[in-house]
Amino acid sequence: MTELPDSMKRLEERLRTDLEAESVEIDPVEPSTDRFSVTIISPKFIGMPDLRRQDLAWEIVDKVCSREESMMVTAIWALAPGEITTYLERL
Amino acid sequence: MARIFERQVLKPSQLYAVAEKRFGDAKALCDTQDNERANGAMYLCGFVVEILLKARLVRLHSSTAKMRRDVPDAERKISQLIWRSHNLLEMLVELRPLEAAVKKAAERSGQPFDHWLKDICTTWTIHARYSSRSTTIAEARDMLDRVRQLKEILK
Repeated sequence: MTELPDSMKRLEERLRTDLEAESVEIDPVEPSTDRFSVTIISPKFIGMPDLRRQDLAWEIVDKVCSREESMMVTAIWALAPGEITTYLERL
Repeated sequence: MARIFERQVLKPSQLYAVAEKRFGDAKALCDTQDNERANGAMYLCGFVVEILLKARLVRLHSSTAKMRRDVPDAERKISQLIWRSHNLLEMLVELRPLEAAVKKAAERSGQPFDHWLKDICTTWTIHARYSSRSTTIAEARDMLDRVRQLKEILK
């Protein structure tokens, strides 16, 4: 398992707190790359359109990460509880 | 049979023109203000981004783009992305210089174009074509507005 850089650990913690997330997972997009995808499951996303959910998450990325660090985040999956099945079906 | 169903090999400039047409289609659907047209509009919005990302890939990998068969292993992924894939995120990952350019445009304008692009690349899939669920025209207009601005940067 790849050790996350400090910036991604910070981001994980902040997303968990600010979004009252049930879970936050940050994974490398491909092994040995410096890019990460973020999967957040939060009740705050219930009833919120996809693009708005991601706006909310990106606001936090921009607060926590420097310019270079934010470019390491390639994708954000912002899910409400119970939507994980739908998400997995799409992969 | 309409000739539009024939497969064509297009140059980037032709792909940009097609992207504009599909954007026009998406706008026409949004202009109806009818929620029933929202899924179609959002599908087309993502498709505009797909065409523009493919145009970039074709520009960057012009020799690979011309190969339809016997593609060397090293170029197979790019060939797949150009000819077979609809996975916008995988395309974006192959276009790092574009990502940096979009980030710069975002910093100049104060609009989070880089986030918008990543969001669309993450959420949009061709499964919208078959979805029995519905979205709203407000959501479709939001996406249309983002794509309208993004396409000027992606060209």
